Amino acid sequence: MDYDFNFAAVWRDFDLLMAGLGLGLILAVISIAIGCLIGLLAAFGMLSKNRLIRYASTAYVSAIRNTPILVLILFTFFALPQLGIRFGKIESFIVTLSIYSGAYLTEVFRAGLVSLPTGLREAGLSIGLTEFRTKLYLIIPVMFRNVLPSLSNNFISLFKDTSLAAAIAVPELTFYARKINVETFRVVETWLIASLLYVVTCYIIAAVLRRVEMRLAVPGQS
Amino acid sequence: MEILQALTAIWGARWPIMEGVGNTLFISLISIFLGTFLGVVVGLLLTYGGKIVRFLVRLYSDFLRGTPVFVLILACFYILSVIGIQLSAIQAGIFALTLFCSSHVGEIVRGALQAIPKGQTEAAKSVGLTFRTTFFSVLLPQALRQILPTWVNTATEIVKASTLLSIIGVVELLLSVQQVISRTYLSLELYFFAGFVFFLINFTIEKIGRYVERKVAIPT
Amino acid sequence: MSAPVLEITNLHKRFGDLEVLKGIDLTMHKGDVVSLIGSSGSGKTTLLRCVNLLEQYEEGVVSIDGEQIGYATKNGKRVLLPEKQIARQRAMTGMVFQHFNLFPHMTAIRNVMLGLVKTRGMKPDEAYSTAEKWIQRVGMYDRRDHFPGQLSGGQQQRVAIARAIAMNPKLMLFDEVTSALDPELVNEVLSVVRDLAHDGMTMLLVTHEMQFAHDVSNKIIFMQDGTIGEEGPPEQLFKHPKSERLAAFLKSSKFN
Repeated sequence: MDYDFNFAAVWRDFDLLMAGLGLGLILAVISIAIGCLIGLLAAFGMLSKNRLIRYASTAYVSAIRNTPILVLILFTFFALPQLGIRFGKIESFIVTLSIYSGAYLTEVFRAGLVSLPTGLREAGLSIGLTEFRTKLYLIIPVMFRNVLPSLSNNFISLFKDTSLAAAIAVPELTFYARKINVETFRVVETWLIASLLYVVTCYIIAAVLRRVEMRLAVPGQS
Repeated sequence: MEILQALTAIWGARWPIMEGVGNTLFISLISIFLGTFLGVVVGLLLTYGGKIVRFLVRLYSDFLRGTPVFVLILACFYILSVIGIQLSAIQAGIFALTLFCSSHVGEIVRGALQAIPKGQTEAAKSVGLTFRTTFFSVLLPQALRQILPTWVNTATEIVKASTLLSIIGVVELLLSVQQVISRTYLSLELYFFAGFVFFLINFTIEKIGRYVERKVAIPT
Repeated sequence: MSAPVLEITNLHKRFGDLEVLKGIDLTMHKGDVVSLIGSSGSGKTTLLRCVNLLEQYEEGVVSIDGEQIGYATKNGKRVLLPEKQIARQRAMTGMVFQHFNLFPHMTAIRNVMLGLVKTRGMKPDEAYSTAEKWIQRVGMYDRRDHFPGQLSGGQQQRVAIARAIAMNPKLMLFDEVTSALDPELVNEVLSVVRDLAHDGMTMLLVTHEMQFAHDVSNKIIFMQDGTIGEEGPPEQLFKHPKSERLAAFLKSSKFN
C-alpha cells in the first residue's frame, strides 16, 4: 500500500463536516421525537381490543420494518409529489425517518407495555383514575423508564441512518464527505475522518444516554 | 389507468428486474454467509481472547458498528481502489456488507456465549470434557439457539442495506426498478412495487426463521 | 495398603488478597464418606472445587489414587498440567452441583451419555446402556427422554447424580446438592445419595443437612475461616463438640 496521507485538504473543509454532523443530529432528534409519538399510538393500537386498529398497527410496523429505508426515503421525496404531497428535501427526510423510527419504537413500546405488571393499571383504576389518565400518569412513565436502554439504541441507529439523507442531497455529514472526496481526491483521509466522526459521536451519545438512564432510573430497581 | 401502465412497465422490464432481484439475493446471501462466519470468529475472540486480542477486536467491532453502513459502503468503494485493491462495485459492496454483518454477528455471539451460565462449563469440565468438546457439544448448541432470532433480524438488515449498493451503481433490485422509473416516470407505483418485493423477501426470511426456531426449540 | 483415594496436604487457596483455605490436610480411604459442614464463607465449597480443579490453588498437593492432580513439578517449579491431562484427571472424580447444571439442550439420558462418549470414548450403544443403567438406579428411567426443562428440581438433581456416577469415578463430590430444592424434593435426592453410600462409594460432601450428614458419614469436618476447626466421627462431633464455635453452629442449624 503506497498512499501518501495528506489531511490538510480535508481539514480545510472540516467546518463543513461538523456542520453536516450537526444537521444529522438535529434530524435524528426531531425524528425520534415524532417517532415516539407515532410509536406510542401504534403500540397501544397493537394492544387495542378493536381488531381493525390492531391489524392496522401491525401492518404499519411490519411493512416499514421490512422495507429498506432508502426505498422509503426515495418514495417520500420522489413519489409522493405525484399525489400532490410535496416537501422540501429536509422535511421529506424528517417525515420518512419519523415514520421509520415510529415502526421500530412501536415494537419497543409494545414490549414495554406487555411486560408491565397488570397490578399497575388496576391500582390506577382503583384510586379513581380514568383509563386515559392511568395511561398518562402511570403506564407511560413507568414503561418509558423501562425501555430507555432500547430507546437509546434506537436513537443511535437513527443517527447513523441520517447518513442516507445524502441520497436526496440533504447536506449532512455523508453528503459533505462525498463532496470533499470528489473535490480533493483525498479519498482515504475523507472517509477515515467521516467514519471517525460518526463513531465518536455514537460513543458520546451512548455515554450521555447512559447517564440519562441512570438519572431517570427508579431507585431500588436494577 | 396508471396502475395498469405501471404493471405493463414492470412486465416489460421483467427480465432486468428479475436480474435485479437475483443480484439482491446474491449480494445478501454472500454477505450474510461470509459475515456470519467472520462474526462467529469475532464473537469467539471477544469472549475467549487474551487482553490485547480482545481490545483489538473490540476496536474493530465498535468502529464498524459506529459507522453508518452507507458510509462503510462508500468508504470501501472509494478507498479500496485508491490503495491498489481493484474491486468491482458489487465486490466492494459485498465486502462492506460482510464487515458490517461480522461486527453485528460478533456481538450477538459474544452476548449469547456470555449469557450461558458458568455452571455449564463447570459441569462439562467435571465429566472430563476438554474446552474444545465443551464448546462444540455444550456451549455452541445453546448459543446458536439463542442467537437465531437476532441473527434472522440481522439477515433482514443486510437485505435492506444491500439497496445502498444502488448508489455506487450496482444494479440490484432498487436500481433496476429505478431504471424503469427513469423511462416511465411512474415513481409512485414503481417505488411501491420495489418496497413490496423487499417486504416479500424479508417476510419470507422471517417466516423461515420462525419455523426453524420452533423446530429447534428445547421442550419445557 | 493401597494409596488413599484422596489425599490433600497443606492446601492453600487465595482469591486476591483473601486467603480462603489456609493449609488443609485431609485423607480419605475407599468407602469413606466425609461431610464438610460450617457456616458460609468457611471454605467448604472452595475445598471441594479444588479437588477437581474447578479452582486453581497456590500451594499444596491433591492426590487421587496416588496421582497428583492438576500440577506437576518441573525444574523445581510448580506448573499446571496441560488441559488434556487435567480433563482426564477431572473424570476421576464425579461432581454434583448445587444448581444441577444439566445441559438444557439434551435429554436426561443424553446428559449422562455425553461424558461417556467424549471422555471415556465409549461407542454410543455402550454409552446408552451404561447411561440407562444409572438413570434406572436414580429412578428416572421413565423420564430418560425428557429435557431438563421438563423435570422438577429433584428429578434434575437425580439425573445430575447419574451423570456423575456413570463415569465410574473413584470419588464423588457433592456440593450442597439439596440447597436449591423445594423442601418436599429434598428427600428423593438424599435417598439416592444414601444408597450410593451404602454401596461403598467414596464421597466428599458439602451439606447443610445435619441429620443427613450425621446418618451417612463416617467422618465430619467442621470448617471455620479456611481451616479445619474440628473433625471426627459424627457421634462425637455432633453430640460432644469441643469448641464454642461448633456448638454455636450446631445450635443455629437446629441439629438435635
